[in-house]
Amino acid sequence: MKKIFSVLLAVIFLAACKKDNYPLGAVDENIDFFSKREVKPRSQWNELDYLCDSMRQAYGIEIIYEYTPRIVAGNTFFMPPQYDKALPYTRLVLDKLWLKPLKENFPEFFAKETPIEFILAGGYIHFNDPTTTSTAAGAGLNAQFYRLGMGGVNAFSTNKAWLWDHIVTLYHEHAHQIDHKYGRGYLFDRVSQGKYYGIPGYASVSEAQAQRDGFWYGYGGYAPEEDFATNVEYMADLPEARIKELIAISQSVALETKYKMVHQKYLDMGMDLHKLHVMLDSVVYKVNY
Amino acid sequence: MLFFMKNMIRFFIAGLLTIALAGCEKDNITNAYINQNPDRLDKVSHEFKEALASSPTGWVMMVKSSLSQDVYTPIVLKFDTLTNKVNVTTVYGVTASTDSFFRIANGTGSPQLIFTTGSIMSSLYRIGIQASDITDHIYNVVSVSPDTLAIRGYRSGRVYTPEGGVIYKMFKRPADWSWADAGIKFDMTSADFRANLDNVTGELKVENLLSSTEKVLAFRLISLPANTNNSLRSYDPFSISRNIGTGGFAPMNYFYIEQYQKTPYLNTTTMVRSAPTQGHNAVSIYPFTSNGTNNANTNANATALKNRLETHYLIFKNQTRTGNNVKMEFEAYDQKGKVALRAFYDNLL
Repeated sequence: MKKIFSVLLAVIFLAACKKDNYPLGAVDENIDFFSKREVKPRSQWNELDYLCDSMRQAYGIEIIYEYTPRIVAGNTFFMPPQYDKALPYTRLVLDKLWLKPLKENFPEFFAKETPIEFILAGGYIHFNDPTTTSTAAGAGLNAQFYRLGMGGVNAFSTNKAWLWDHIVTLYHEHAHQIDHKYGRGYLFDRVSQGKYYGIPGYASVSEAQAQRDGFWYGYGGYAPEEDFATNVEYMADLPEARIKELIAISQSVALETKYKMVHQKYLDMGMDLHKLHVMLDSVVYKVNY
Repeated sequence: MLFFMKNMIRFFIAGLLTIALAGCEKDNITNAYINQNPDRLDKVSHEFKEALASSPTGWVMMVKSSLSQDVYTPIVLKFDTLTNKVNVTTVYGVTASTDSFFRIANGTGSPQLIFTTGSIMSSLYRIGIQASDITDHIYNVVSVSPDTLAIRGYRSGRVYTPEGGVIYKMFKRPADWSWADAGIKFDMTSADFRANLDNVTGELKVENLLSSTEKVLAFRLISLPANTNNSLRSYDPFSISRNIGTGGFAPMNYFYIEQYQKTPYLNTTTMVRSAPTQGHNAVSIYPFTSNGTNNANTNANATALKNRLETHYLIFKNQTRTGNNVKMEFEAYDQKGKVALRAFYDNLL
């Protein structure tokens, strides 16, 4: 009698709790949980929505200027751009300065390395607290495989110096993305191993001193990540002759070694960074907008 | 005794059985309700959208600034649910002419109201507690009724703080809040408006309805030269150049207010000067570096004026001109949008 009871009990226990495994039902493999839940209906599109749509068709990149919960990051804060800045910014910086010449001049690099999302940030990145006003600049949003973003859109200006600085910074941020995708390489990190300045050391180093130490400027000496990105930034910013001249002046083997590594890495991806400089110079300085 | 023991074991087993059955009952969590009502969120968000559209003059959000104890800052939000544009009007400055957009998203548990592009709403979020207790540009919709829409900031501020900010109970814009209509009537940049006002010493009688107190200030408004105006702009926390990432406000204009308290008598009869900002039909006394103009690079006099008035803004109600005499009436509101304070200006001419 007791045994029967025990068996019965065991059966009840097992059966009763079985459904626990999937309390909410089986997972439906066909649902794309990362897809956009609500696409803006065409009837509500404004000029910028149409522009973003045609750029998505032309370049395969989703440009995001409206912030929804999908955009929110956990511990960093961004402010959405003002519409009247986002519109000319997308038209000029993203289309005319970045994507169009990139697709025409470096088709292989464009096809393989263009992020699929680009986020416009009105201001800059605010770490931990949206109300901080300290030096929390940083274009941010680069630490992801598939998307890139730029801050400072609310400061958009057709001033040549602003445009130049912004597009060069965009390639700096994109270099971080390349870094995250493929890595800088084991050997790159070994070139200046042990010589990085760290925080706050990097901020007080002059450019000439940094170049003697093997970095393009102080910030490049902050850490290997920035070292890699500043190599791309300097090759985008300065003509080939000036780069070689600075390397000669610096007499730094490390600077030359890393320059060659980064230049070759980009060549392998289909982009000659010296030609990138020429291209950027032509679209920024040789055309009036 | 043995019989009793046997019974006890039976009771024990029966008890166990009951526990086993009841214990597992709570595991029967299902999605039945959600599955059977797939359009549940669509319905709620549609209801919310209809409510937003039901007040053509807009909805009012009263936000708390650290500048005042009992006076709250009104924000009038006019939603166009066809184009998803939102017009934001508040006292801190004049709204820029750019479009600002919003969206209603279904969210996960409740619909969300999102100010998706840069606007006064993201500016307030960005600037923090001196302007408002807004802590996000994304809001969960808490409740919808014909007269009240309750929304709550999705985040409560900086990182590592609990989810959910302040709950705002928005109400329909009162009919007599014509100050929030388009068109700037209080305009120290207009020569017509300044006539018999600029640099004329009059009186401002301030009635605080919450504390039932009254005071009279000697009071004059003075227009600013362009270079001083530009210099103040470069310090203004709301301007894009100063506080990049905000936006929503047109470039600010300022003027001087000089005042001292006459009654109840204070032992100071020297005019104290500060430089408030011209809001949307409002005087905004928002202290920032260098607008407390008697002391260079401090905001002390702006703070002093705000404290003396017991409000950080005065909303311009109307102006009456009789010959050279100019009278103006101002108001400030409490948390529910009721009048907390009235001020009457007379140029004594």
